Amino acid sequence: MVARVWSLMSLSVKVASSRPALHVVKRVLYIIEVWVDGATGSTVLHYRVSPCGRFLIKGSVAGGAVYLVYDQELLGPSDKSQAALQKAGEVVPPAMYQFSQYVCQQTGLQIPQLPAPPKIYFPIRDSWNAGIMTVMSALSVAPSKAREYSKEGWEYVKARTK
Amino acid sequence: MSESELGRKWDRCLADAVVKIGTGFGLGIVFSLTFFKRRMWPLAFGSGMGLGMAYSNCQHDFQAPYLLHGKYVKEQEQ
Repeated sequence: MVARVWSLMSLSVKVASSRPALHVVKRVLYIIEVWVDGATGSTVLHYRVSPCGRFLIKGSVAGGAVYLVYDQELLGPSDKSQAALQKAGEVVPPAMYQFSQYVCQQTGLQIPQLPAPPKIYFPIRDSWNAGIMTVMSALSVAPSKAREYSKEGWEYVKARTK
Repeated sequence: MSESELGRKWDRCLADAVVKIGTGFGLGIVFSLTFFKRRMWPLAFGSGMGLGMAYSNCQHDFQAPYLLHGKYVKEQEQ
């Protein structure tokens, strides 16, 4: 009974052109099919996805992506986008950490703990402003300084030639 | 416009540009994989759309204090 249910439920998707994502799905289904065949010895039904069904799947994926963008207001006003980016910055690192922990538990691998990155505090705005002020003050005193240095040089040359 | 307000506007512009370009790129990937046979032009089109929308938002944000909003008033017939 179980074997018959498995044989009815298992699908073998035949894809006309090879695509990486569907290759993985095809491989997984083949592994399940071989396991069921080995366990039960029953035959497996082959099911081909029609062009209409393929279009519906693609349309639903694309429509879902568009709806997600519309729902999160990612292409709306700038303050909504800034809020979305802030929210992503708060949510993504813990999610990545939990996913890495889950992968480590399932596979038995241990990811080495990297040392914390050094916190570099470099205020670009203050440095830029200080640089601009220094350059402008140097330019403003440049004529008087040039006159002073040329006068001193002339005095030095006069004293040496006497 | 004070310097702190200007800095906030620049921060908002940069965040908006990152989000919009990323969203356009992501939508371009989805449409390229589903309907356009993994061509590159949907990605470029989506990224360009996002960049243009971000530039437009930034331009409006920086020009906001200087824009005069008027409205038409109908003359009342005597």
